[in-house]
This record gives sequence, structure tokens and C-alpha cells, in this order.
Amino acid sequence: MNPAAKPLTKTLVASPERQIEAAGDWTVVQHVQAGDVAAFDQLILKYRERVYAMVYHMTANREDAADLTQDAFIKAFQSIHRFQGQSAFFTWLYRIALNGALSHIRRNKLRSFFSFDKIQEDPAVAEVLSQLTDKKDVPRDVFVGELQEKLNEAMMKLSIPHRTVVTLFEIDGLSHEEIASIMHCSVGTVRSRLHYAKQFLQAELHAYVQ
Amino acid sequence: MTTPETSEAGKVSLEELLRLKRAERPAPEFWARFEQDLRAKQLAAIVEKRPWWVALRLPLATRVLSRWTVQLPLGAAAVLALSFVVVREDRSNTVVVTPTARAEVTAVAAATASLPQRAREVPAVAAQQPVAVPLPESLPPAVAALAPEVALKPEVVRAEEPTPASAVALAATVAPADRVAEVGLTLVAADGMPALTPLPVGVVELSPVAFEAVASVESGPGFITPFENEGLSIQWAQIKSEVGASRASPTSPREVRRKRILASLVLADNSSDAHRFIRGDGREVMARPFGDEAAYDGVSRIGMGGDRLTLKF
Repeated sequence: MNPAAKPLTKTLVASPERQIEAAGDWTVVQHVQAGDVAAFDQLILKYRERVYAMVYHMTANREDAADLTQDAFIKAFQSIHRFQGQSAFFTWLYRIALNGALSHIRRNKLRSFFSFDKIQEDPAVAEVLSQLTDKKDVPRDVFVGELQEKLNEAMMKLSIPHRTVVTLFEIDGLSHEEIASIMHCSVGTVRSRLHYAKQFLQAELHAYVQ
Repeated sequence: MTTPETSEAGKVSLEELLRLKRAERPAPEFWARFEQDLRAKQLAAIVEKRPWWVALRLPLATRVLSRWTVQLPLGAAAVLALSFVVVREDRSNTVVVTPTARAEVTAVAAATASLPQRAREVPAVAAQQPVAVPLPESLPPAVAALAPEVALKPEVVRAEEPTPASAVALAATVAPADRVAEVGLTLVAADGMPALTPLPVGVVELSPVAFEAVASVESGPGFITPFENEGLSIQWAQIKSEVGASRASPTSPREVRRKRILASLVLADNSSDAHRFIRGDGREVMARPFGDEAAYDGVSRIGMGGDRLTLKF
């Protein structure tokens, strides 16, 4: 068992820390609503990577993801006076970004270009990669590039709801409840979609997955 | 022994693969550019853009307004001119029969009917010049009393036709039939101004009432002048055309009798349809009041069917 995998996932799942974080966000939002526009920069710096990651994994295109993330922040800034704190700011911001990404995907259904970010090799990732390339003769970079492409192709074959669930749960580390809140569906639906998506990906990536 | 998540044959679990995907992150320099673009977009968003329909509407509105600045006065002028024409036309078609005017119409009708034949047969050659026509010595008292402000001059009878200046005796020549219809009658006021609208001789034929006074006989295109001082206006051209039509279809004794009955009825009534009677539209005179405010007047009780006159009580 890989001990590094679980903690990484768990840190992103909803937790008391997330609630404290949401309370701090609400304070910042109130400052912004009171006219302190610069306070919004704190929220941008805090969430830009997560939002970008979610959009990037949904679109598999880094340029589109950057644009959509910027648009999401601008929309959030323009609509922040309507945010009443009934949900976490993070959830609210995610919903805005996700809606933008879904609209973009629907608009560009026939035009899909992949544009990948480089895999940042942290210890956990390096361990996984070494396991995959141990008994192969191909160079590591080539193998990683091929793997990344296969992975994204499999993800893009998923339907939008299933891709969203996999992205939010497995990659961004949100809880089922948070995903249900963002996607406006039940937790059972989230679990069902997640199960189906995993089965599909397993079948698509059988060459790499045991 | 291998763990459940990793395989010994170079295979990993799906979660581990997806963890690789999570590791796809942009380089730090990417965020610098991201920040820059975001600032630019924020500034553009703060400077609020006009909606597209405003952009469409503004040029359109300015275009319309610029046109209006020219077209509005023109349109207003056109409306004013149109309303003036309509009102004027309506005034010329409307006859307001005052008691004085009605009396004058009666007098003219009566006078014309009994106009001596020689006075009615104005020769074409003598119509341009005023011509004296001998008049009956005495006017009927009814005619004299009807229009007190009109002082009749029994000795003045004028017949004007576009003819050479030489006057010819009225009785000497018999005018062609088509010229007779254009001869008009008028009463001349004491100051010499015409006091009555010229009436064509053909009109007189519609109402052969006894005539005892003739004030003036005039004809020609100069007789379009209506009775403005009395509020009675009848267009000469209209009368002329209708007289021509009546001449084209000579009235039968039955028609004459019907119109005579109508004449007495209309003149006795207070309605303002005397001019229609003069035109000979007996049926129209009877029909129109039913739809107007006079529907409840006495005339509305009168109906005509063929030769019959019915009175409803």
C-alpha cells in the first residue's frame, strides 16, 4: 500500500479544517462586499490553483483552463454582492468555474485540443512512475508522456457528469456532499456516477491498471 | 507480495494513475502571466461595457432623432394643412340654415320658379354684361318679410355671361338649353353686395312654387361665392353639375310632385337639410337625419316609399 496516497486525498476532503477555512473566506468576502476590493486578491491567491486544476482536468487544455479560471474569478468578483454566505465561498466559486467549464465544453464539443501541463514529480508521483517504468525498456519521459495522453483521452471519453464527478472527487479531493452541492444532485447520484466512471476508466486504462 | 494498489508487473491502481493526473500542474511562471491577464480582465470588467442592444439602440435613436428634427416640423405642417383642407371642405359641404338663410332660399326658389321666361332664357351673347330685366311690380309680402336685412331691388336684374360687351335684350334671344342651366339667380342686398348664393335655374325647376319677385339673375363661373355673411354656403360648381345631371334626365310629373312635397316638408322642418332639398336629393334628405342627432326629430317620422309619403306618430 502506498502510504503517501491516502493523506494527499484526505487533505482535500471536506473536514473541520474546511469549515474553518470557509468561515475565514466569509470574513474576506464581507470585506470585499464592504468595498475592500483588494481583499479579493486573497481569495484569488488562495483558490486559483484549485480552480484552475478543476477546469484543466475538465477541458484537458491549459490555455482554455487559464481563461476559464480568470473568467470564473471575474464573475465571482462581479457577483460577490449576491453571495450571502449560505454555502462556503469555495463551493460557490467552484460552481461558477464549473458552469463556465461546462458551457465551454458544450460550445466546443467538436473542437477538442489537448494541451497538457507537465507532471510535477513530487515523491508520491515519482514512486508511481517508477513502478510503471521499472520493467519497461522505453525511456521514462516518453512513457510518462504516453501515459498522460492515454489518461486524458480516457477522461475525455467520459460523459460530462461522470468526468465532473471523477475530477472533483479523485483529483480535487472534494467530498461527496460537496460535489452534490456543486452539481445540484444527490450524494447517491454522485456515488453512482463515480462508480461507473471508475469502471469505465479501468477498462480504458487496463494496460496500466492492474 | 504486492500491495493491492500496485502490481508487480508494472501496473498501478486507478487511484494512483489519477494521482498522476493531479500532479499535472503549471509552472510558477504560468501564474505570473495568469495574474497579469486576470488584472487586465478585472479592469475591463470594472469599466462596465454597454450591452449590445444599447450599442444598437444609440445610433438608431440618434438617427431617428436627427430625422425627426427635420421631419417633425414637416409632418406637423402637413397635418395642419390636411386638417385645414378637411375642415374647409367640410365647411363648404355643410349648410347651416339659419332662419334668414332659409327664408332666402325659399324666396329664391319661389322667385326662380315664377321667373319670366325671357329672364330665364338669358342669351349666351348677353350674359357678360349686366342686363336689366323687367320685374314684377310687387313682391309677395312673404318674400319681403323673410329676409329683413336683404332689401330687394326689384328693378335690378343682372345676367352675366362670358360674352362680348354688347348687351342684348333678354327677351330678344332664346338662350340655348345648355346655357340656361348655368344661369344663376341671386338677391342683391341694398348696398349692392350679393346676399344670396346664386342658384341655377335648373334648381328652380325642382320646386315650381309660385314666384313673385326676382332680385337678380346672374350666371357664369364667378358665382361660386357662397353666402358667407349668412352662414349658408353652397358651391356653385356642385350645384351646376347636379343641375346638369337633372337636366340630362328630365323629371317626370311624379318626380316633380314628390319633390314639391319634400320641399314643403323640408322647409317647414328645422333641420339643416335645405340645401339637399335644393339639390333634389329628396331621398337622401329623408335618410340622413335617421342616423344623425335629428333622428328623433319630426323628420325622422317621415318616410318615403315610391310615391308614398308616410308619417309616423
